[in-house]
Amino acid sequence: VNLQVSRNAGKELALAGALLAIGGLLPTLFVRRRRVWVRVRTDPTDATAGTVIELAGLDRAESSDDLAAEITSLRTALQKETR
Amino acid sequence: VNAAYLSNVLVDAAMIVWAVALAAFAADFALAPSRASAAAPVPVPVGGGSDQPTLDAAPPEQRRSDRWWGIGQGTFVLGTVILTVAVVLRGVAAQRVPWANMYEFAITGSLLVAVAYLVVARRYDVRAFALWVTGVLLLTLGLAVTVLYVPAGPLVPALRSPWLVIHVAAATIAAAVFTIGMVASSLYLVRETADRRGASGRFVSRLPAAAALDRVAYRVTAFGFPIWTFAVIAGAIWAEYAWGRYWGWDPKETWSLITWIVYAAYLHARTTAGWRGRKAAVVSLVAYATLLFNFFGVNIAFVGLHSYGGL
Repeated sequence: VNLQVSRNAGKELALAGALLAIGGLLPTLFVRRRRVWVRVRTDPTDATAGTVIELAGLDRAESSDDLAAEITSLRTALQKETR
Repeated sequence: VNAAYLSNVLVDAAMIVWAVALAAFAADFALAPSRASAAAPVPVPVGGGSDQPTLDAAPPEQRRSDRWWGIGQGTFVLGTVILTVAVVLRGVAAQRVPWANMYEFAITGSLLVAVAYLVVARRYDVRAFALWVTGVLLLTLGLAVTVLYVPAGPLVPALRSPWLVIHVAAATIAAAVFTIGMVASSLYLVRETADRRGASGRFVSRLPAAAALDRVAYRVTAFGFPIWTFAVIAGAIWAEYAWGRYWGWDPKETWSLITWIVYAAYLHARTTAGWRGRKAAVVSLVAYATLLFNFFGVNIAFVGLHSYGGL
């Protein structure tokens, strides 16, 4: 008979670490990171010039193909808001 | 009729049906009108069919190629259904999950690659992938029935555990998903090299645009990576139960870590260092090579605790 006894004091810690790693991995891969800027400008010397609103976006994720659509929808929303 | 025997016959049948699909996809690829190299990656629902341009509007060569495409799609799905039955019968014959030895990984893995392809094809325009995916599948099944085959039988005691279902299923799913990524990266390299040299041969011009291939490769790999991570962790838990230690630098464990590191490097290089295209594609192919070595090479070249089922 061949018997083997082992004890790993740190195995629960290793498991907790591994599960935390998965927990961190999923948002890293699947949350879309992007930045959107909205700049509102008025000309203080000319009261009739109105307000200029500028929009810009920077996509840090791989799926950058719908950033333009997102900016456009934001613009539409802002136009409704300011009208 | 013996279920194990019927399963073997159906694996052969699936190979024959997929061989027809391969020929039809090749004909589709050869007859398809070339795409403009700067074509935007338009998502076309392959297989859905309703959003396809009507046949009346299509040029004659498109129509001819579409007919072959239809035959290829039909036979590919038929082959997938036949293989599904074959895998299920294999499980019935062995009275356990059908993924406990190299032969069973190969047939179950092939089935998952086929399903992964069909799922990806619903979301992305991967019509050009069909030929290559089918080629890989036929190669794998051919290897399975000639080299890897073992009769259906019970498990060695160390493998009798519910973790067999969890760990191996996760590893096989991840490997199947990575296989689709490998095809995308390979086609990307072909396409990108041709674009760079200004070549516009009939072959190259039928592939999707380089940027689209790059993106499919990334998304598929990003999907597979957490599954692979989970497979490695589940394997460690099982190893703790079965062998009394969760990590023992067994060759299979070591190589699964190597694969994990190289795929992590691929994802990391893309999201933080901004590696795109060529460099990233090469890293992903290296990662896939380590995966293949882990699957075939480790069982053949080393003696470890993962040696089982005759190989």
